[in-house]
Amino acid sequence: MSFLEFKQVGKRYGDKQAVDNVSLGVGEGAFLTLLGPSGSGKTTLLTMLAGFTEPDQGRICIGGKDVTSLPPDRRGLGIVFQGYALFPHMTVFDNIAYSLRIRKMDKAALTRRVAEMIELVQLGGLERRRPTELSGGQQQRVALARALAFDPPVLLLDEPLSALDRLLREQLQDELKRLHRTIGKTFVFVTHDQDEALALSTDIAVLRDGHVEQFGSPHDLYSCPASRFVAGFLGVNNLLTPEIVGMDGDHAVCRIDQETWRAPARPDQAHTLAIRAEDIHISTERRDAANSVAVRVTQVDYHGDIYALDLEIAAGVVLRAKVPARGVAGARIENARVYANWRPEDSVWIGGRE
Amino acid sequence: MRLRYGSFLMPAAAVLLVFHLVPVAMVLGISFTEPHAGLQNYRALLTSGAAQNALATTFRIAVSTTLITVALGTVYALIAWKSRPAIGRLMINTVALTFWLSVLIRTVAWVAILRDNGILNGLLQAIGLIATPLPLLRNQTGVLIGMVHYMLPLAVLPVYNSLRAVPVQQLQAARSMSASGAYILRTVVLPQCTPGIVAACALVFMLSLGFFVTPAILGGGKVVMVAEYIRLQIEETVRWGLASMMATTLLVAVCVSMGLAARAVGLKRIFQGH
Repeated sequence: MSFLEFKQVGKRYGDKQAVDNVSLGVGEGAFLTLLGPSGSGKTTLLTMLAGFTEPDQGRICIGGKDVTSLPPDRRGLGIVFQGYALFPHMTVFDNIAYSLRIRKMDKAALTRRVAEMIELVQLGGLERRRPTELSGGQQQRVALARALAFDPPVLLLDEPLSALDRLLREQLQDELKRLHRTIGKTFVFVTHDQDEALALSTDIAVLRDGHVEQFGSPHDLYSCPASRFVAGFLGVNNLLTPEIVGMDGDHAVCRIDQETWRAPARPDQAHTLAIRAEDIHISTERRDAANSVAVRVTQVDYHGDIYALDLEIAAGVVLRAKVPARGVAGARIENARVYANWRPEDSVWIGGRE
Repeated sequence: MRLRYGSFLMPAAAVLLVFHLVPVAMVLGISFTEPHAGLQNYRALLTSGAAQNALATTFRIAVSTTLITVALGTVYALIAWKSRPAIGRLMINTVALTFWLSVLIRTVAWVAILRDNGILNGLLQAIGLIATPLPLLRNQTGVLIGMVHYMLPLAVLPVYNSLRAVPVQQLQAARSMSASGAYILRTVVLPQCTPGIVAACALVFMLSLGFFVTPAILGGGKVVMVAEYIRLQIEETVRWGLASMMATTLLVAVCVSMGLAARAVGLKRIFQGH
């Protein structure tokens, strides 16, 4: 049985079904990410888990206990809010000690626990500061320390990184991962950023219009997206709808315009073939070993570590490829005729839904 | 450049000078010159029982009004803030609406309610709670009731404003850490709306010091506050020197309380409420 579980949970706001029959569960110590665009129901799902919103239907269980009708103050969950919601009139120390004072912890133990938390989030020396005197990243750590101080079994995080700039976000992403490994608690994380989701999670639920579009490990989702939506959301760039012109052993032979290539046999409802941009390699000669398709380079974007190339197979059909920047003379390959190569196993058929 | 833009302020400065600063200066002048030059008017502060009484009464009533009004106003603002948005808006609009009623009409209405054979005493006698009418008029109780009623919006609005500035996520955060409602109120809400409460105190206290209509009517000549004292000196005894001395004293008292409040929370926050 799962440690944390949503069972057929639904919530309606007026005409809008914000959360629609969501069922999913993760084990203790998991890092579950609720991933989706705004309006997908991910935040509603989190507030129902926290207890601030009551579901219209379904049950929510934590540690085998049904908490569906329990108020938030009796769920004992740590929460890091979007924008952190630190108490501005209290010092860092008092913010972190807040939950301990509610629990009437004696002074020595309290001081020790706060010091532990400050050590955990590396905020030493800032105990006497107020939140307004801290940077965004430091505020985020205070929010983490405050949420973890009373040792909750589950930590909820509502887009905690979205207010930070990219560099800081990557750094805090690493720290969040380290924290999760160190304390071994169950994390539930809400984000719209697929990179964060893939980097941090053990389990990802991709949400769309209130329902779970796909639920699985980052690897499952990325390598076998269940729908065009999931593929697109996770940044699988190439979604083609080729014609099937025959079979070659176990492989289906696909064709767009003049070009043919091999792909795994196509399941019944599938018609979209997904190929990740980084699985495509380019060469100046046609190769025999893998699929090799003649393309024209229509655009070259330099990203420092890689080049992102737009490769046109036929009018209007473009493959996106990411190739290491080293060894490619970027400017010179624009408009060049080259070959796009990928292994048949690196392409995957996606189910019928849009 | 700076001078040229500054010249746009000249009309406003002229109005301020002619209609505010000059009269105040004249009052100040009269207090030192009528009936003859010297400090004799200010000596009355030390020697005249009537002047001292008026000051003491004013201070006592202003402090009581402030404490009662801000306490009631804070509770009212808290209830409006915790209610559903529609109810909260209705509560605040109702309070703000009383601003549109003339203070005279409101005071006369209180006379009708509070007098010996008025609505309130009639009701209490009818249900047998009291035998003889309670003395609610022509005394300090009546003045306090009328003044608190008039000042209530001035306490409710700044406190409500500062409450609304507390983000709901902070309350949720406190709740998620198992804080009770009372604990959240004490540790999260009230500390953050102290500026609003101080602003309410300052506004109510300063207005109470110079209040005229309500004490005059509901006090019925028995409760003489500073404003009533000044009217008496001008209209009845024609001692302009004493009247302007008291007016100056009042102005100084208002400025001092404003200064104290500004030192406590900052002038800008008093007028914004948060």
